Amino acid sequence: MSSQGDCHATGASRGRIATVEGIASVLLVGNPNVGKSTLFNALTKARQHVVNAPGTTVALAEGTWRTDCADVTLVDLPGTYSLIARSPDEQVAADAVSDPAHDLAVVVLDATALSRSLYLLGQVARAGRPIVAALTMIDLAEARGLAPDADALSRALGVPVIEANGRNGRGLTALGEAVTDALTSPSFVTGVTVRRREEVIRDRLSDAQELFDWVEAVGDAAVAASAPHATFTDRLDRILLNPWVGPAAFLAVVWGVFQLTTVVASPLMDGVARVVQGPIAGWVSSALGAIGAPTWLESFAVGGVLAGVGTVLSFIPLMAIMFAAVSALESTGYLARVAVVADRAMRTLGLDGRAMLPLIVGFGCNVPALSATAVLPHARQRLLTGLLVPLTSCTARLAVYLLLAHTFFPGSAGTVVFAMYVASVALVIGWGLIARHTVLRDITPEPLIIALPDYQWPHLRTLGRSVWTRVASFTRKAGTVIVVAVMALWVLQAIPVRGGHDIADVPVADSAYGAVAQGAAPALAPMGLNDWRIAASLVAGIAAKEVVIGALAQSYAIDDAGDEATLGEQVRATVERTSGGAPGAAALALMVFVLSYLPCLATLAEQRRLFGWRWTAAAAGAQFAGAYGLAILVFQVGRLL
Amino acid sequence: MPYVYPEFMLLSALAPGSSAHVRTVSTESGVVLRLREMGLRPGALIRMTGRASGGSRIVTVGAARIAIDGTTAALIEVEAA
Repeated sequence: MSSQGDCHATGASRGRIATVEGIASVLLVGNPNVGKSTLFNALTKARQHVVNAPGTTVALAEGTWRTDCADVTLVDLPGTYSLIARSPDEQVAADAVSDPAHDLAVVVLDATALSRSLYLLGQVARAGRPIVAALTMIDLAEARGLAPDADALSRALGVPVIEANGRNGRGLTALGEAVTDALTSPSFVTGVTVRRREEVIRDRLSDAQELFDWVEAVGDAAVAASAPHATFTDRLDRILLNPWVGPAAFLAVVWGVFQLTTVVASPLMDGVARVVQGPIAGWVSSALGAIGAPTWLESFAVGGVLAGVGTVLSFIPLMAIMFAAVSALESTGYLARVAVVADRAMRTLGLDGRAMLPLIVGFGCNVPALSATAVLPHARQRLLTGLLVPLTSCTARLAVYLLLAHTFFPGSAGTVVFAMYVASVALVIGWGLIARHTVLRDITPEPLIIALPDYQWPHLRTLGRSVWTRVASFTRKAGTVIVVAVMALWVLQAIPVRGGHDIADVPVADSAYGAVAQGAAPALAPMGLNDWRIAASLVAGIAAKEVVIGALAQSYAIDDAGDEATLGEQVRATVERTSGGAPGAAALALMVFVLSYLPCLATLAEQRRLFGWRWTAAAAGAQFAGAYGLAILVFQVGRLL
Repeated sequence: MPYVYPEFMLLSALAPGSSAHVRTVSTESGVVLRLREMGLRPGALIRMTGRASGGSRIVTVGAARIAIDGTTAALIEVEAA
């Protein structure tokens, strides 16, 4: 531990290093997969949150780093190979580096790929930033017979080079000291000419060549060359990237992630819902009863507020599991391989191989699938993938297919349900191609040129922290929207529009909600489903697909929603009447409609958070129109058969 | 000894385990630059680690392992080392 006296030359005591802007701002810059996020987590611990980069949907982690001398704001920039950006994410890194509002850059140097790291450092130096370098992955480099000498490197560069390991905390204190020193007396890289911001570079290739020559000179001074030899990673890659085993291994991983969302997360979600609706709801009711609150208030507290909070809470285990799975895959180095294995297939949609994983997760639940798009490096590709995610048929929709398929196609229910999944994949491909050739024409599959990191065990503490940060961010932002929406649904159900009922004591048919459904029902006539109860369940299904069946049961005033035979019979009787004698075609139309008419509110809220409301609204509108047309087509063609 | 002409070939045609020096890359300058940034600069010694599913090639440059999609790999001319 350093004493107060060690705190830089000015003798300042521990506190904030004041700058014109206030607290000093330090950027963390580095190539992808160099242990940058592990370092960030080790430095900021729990004092971090996710923010969007100014004017973009690119998420950045920002945190407070309490060094022994001062608190500084640390910004974890997207990993990049170069500041000559080829994607919006890389542009965010480039913009931040050239923004004078930041006081210092900590450039993370990967000891196993020093020249690539030094090139980036050279670019940061050209931008005129003061620099402190953190040398990571030293253990891996030593295992490979490459041992860069931090002192020699520091002499060659003219800035402090600190060996730092976010996994075991080694070197972090020294890094903190170097940074606080550099904030008071800035250290600049020698041998690199600083560029003015407005300077125009005519020939980028020969301009880069200057830096390559500089990198070579610095690298020669710091690392003894040795012939690389095949490592454990190379041997494992021979299996996991094998043309035959590779795709199978990838599908196995995807299946495992899918299992996690259904097998592990579902009971947890049910458990949370049961606790909220059971003991907690009972406790709230009796507490409100005890203080003499009116019935409507009790109903609002339980059916509105608590139901909304319960919906959000029940999502948390699912989100946490998904984030953990994706973060683990990323930190082991496997996600970089997925990009390679799935690349060719995803190229037809203008996407990158990495887009495969979120789409598969979507079949479990769309909400964590949207968050999983964060693994995609390009904002445009994240957008397209994120807009396609709602077309993947989540498990909540499966419940609707099961009821309808068993009721209307008792002999071939399995085939019908399977067909819905085929339809879901077809919709993803179809809408993907349409979007690619219309609104997202600027999306072009980039050449895939990525570094494959060494395989590593995930670092549990880093994993835990990043899961916590992301879940907190989801709960704060999407959670608020969900709670408000469920409360609004309650209000609609509580308002009597006819029959002279009291507020919050209304049969569904006489509520504002029922009136809306009755108004909407005729729109379902072309698909043979002109019935207010079906319309009502679809309206409720916008809140969450889980409530479609429950809302149907409520409308038929069945006490036990679990009694599906009775519910099925009632629905069948209704559909036989509305479809004019073609109930099968109408049931298929209903399933197709439920598959894609609108994403649930949690999905919409998450989309809005990631892509803004314009994209979310436009995609939802297009999807709704498409589903409407498709359902009509299914019914009209189906009833002729 | 008769003069042996240097053997030029495409990176995509390089046999696993063999080494080569990068010569030229014929594609748009942004991609050429990114390849150079990743270490595939003219004259750099690379080793073909293998061909992955989906047609990508895995090459080693120095100590770094780089994956390049098949189309791009076919734009890189190398000289057998």
